[in-house]
Amino acid sequence: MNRSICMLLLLCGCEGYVTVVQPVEILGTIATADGHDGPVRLEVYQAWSGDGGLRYPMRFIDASWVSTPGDFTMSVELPVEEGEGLVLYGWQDRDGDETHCAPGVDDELSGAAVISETDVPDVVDGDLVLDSPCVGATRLFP
Amino acid sequence: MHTHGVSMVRTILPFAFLIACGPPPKGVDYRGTRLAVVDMHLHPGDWQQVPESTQGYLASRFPFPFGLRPEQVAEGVLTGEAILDQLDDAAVSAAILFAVYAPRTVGVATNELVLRERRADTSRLWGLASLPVDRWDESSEAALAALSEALDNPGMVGIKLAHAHMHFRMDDPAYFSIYDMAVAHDAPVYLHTGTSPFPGTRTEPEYTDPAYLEAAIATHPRVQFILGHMGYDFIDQRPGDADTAIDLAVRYDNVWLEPSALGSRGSDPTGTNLPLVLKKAKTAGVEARLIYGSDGPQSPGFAADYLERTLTALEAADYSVEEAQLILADNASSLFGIPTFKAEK
Amino acid sequence: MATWLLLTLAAAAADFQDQDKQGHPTRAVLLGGSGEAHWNAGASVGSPWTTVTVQRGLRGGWTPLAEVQAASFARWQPAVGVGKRWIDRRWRLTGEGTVGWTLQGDPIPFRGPAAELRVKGGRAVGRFAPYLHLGMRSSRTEDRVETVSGDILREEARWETTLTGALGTGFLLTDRVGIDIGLDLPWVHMPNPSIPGMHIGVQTGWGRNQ
Repeated sequence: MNRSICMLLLLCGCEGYVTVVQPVEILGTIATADGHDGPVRLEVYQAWSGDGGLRYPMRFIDASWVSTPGDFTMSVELPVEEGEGLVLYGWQDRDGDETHCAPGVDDELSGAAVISETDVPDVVDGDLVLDSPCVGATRLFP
Repeated sequence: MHTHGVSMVRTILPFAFLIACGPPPKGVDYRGTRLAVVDMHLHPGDWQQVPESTQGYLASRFPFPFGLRPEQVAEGVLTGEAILDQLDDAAVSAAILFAVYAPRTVGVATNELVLRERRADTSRLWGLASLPVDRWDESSEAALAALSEALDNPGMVGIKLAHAHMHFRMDDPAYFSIYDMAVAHDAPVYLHTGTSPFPGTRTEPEYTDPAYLEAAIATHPRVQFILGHMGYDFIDQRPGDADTAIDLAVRYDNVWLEPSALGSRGSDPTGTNLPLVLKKAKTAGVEARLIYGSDGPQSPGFAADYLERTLTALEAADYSVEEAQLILADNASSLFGIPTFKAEK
Repeated sequence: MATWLLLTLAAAAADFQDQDKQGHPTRAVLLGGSGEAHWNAGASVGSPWTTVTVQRGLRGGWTPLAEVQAASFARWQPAVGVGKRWIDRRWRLTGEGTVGWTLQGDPIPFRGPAAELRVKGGRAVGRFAPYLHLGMRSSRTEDRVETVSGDILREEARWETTLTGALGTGFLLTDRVGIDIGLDLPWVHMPNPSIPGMHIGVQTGWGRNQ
């Protein structure tokens, strides 16, 4: 009887796309190699996603702006059924155009920190050093 | 690959070929003259090598009921044989098939798959090879070696790159070794420019704006750069960076423009953007460096429909018969070193 | 021979215009509204739609019904409802309302309640019963984000509106059995485009015949 009710509820449930996530709190510090001030674009990636021939590193999850290098906190939701691990990437916007190294600009530093390539705790420390000018996120994955 | 806002009748029309009798003679009528057509942008593939999120995206845009069992539709349009059927229906003489390594977005169609599907008719199909670029610092040597091996095959006539899909910056010199490979093989390089509607693509200008390609274009004058989609903004359905793409073609003789997909029913619902960018190119004096591609097969009938829309746009932008013949076929033949095709009466 | 055939068909046509025959299962299912105390059932197969319907006539032209529609056997639409014959002379016009569910799996998952209003119209032309169905269906589901432990973080409603339609003709084979052929013209999940379908069906009935 209970099984029948369960089946009925399953049939009559109201369900579309379901995304299973792990909320993660990132507490960290951003530093630049030359100590320059200025807003930092902080991006969060899963280290790996996909299977077989479709497996790839650096799955983009979320991004936000941090007003200046130093301590930061960021909350993200990692879709755990679609990837694993956690990588931070950031770049500093020195000319205020919200674009990383527009043509003619070659001094906006970027950097990445691999927090984990597998399981991620609910609260993580993530220290990020920006020391590579004009390098995109995927190329900084080791 | 958008299909929103399309009326029922206009959607059904492309499927009329299903009840038509035999393929039409190769070629199209343009201003009273028969012209041959080469479609330089078609995608073979394997549905299982498309990420789930993109499978859902594609399925949601297939006409009902195709979206219910999209793998059946995909199998029916993505093989070499199916692409030949589409070419026949569109009266297109030949086509270039693209390899793609974009597991984040549209998936993977390997060089080997392209060469395999090309075997459906090697006198009408050629391929552009590609390569994976993830973990480039440690994998570039192997990736470039595999690309070189693919380009050694006479069926592979160029290289395909899509920075927004493959997530690498257009201006990062670390990847310029790909253009060096193009020089070594005398292979034109096709580059996706502009944004893309597919989930997972990068939308920032360093991945989409052709201005970021200038360093590569300027330092590789022997490479023929084909700016795919002419910088079109597929998200907001507007010309986007088309002016930048045209400006590069004005300033660099090794830049070609390919207006595929941007004029489709889904991406240009009002039908104004394709004529607009074609007019801009003509006004800028680079009309002879346009090259036709559709970005099909997408769904049954797309190749024919896009060709029809392109002819209408060429007419609206006042292209001459000679210019149209260059764009529709002859530029592809000379650029890729494939035979010259003639229209059938 | 030809004269005999014409006379036979004419006699049959006249026979099927009789009031008693207006309650024929084919007319009941395709034009809507079963005769009082009649049970009628219809089934159709086609591409992409397959449908099974059961209905029973009550006094005053009211007709409770249950149906299951399936598209490519990948989208299921079970429902119960009621119809009411508004006009029932040579022309018949029936209104129907149903409530049920829309069930669809990957890659476009959709599971949720649905409601549909439609009208069925047509007339008896000898043994033929040409018909037209027009309606509107709305379904709702919930997309959600949840934690590994099942806590729901966010839910967002997703609606799907469909204009339904069909056009065809029934043909009365015997007093209790008929068939039909028709075009299915639903515009599923507007404004996404839809391709028309076709079906063939069979209808039957039993119960008090008046």
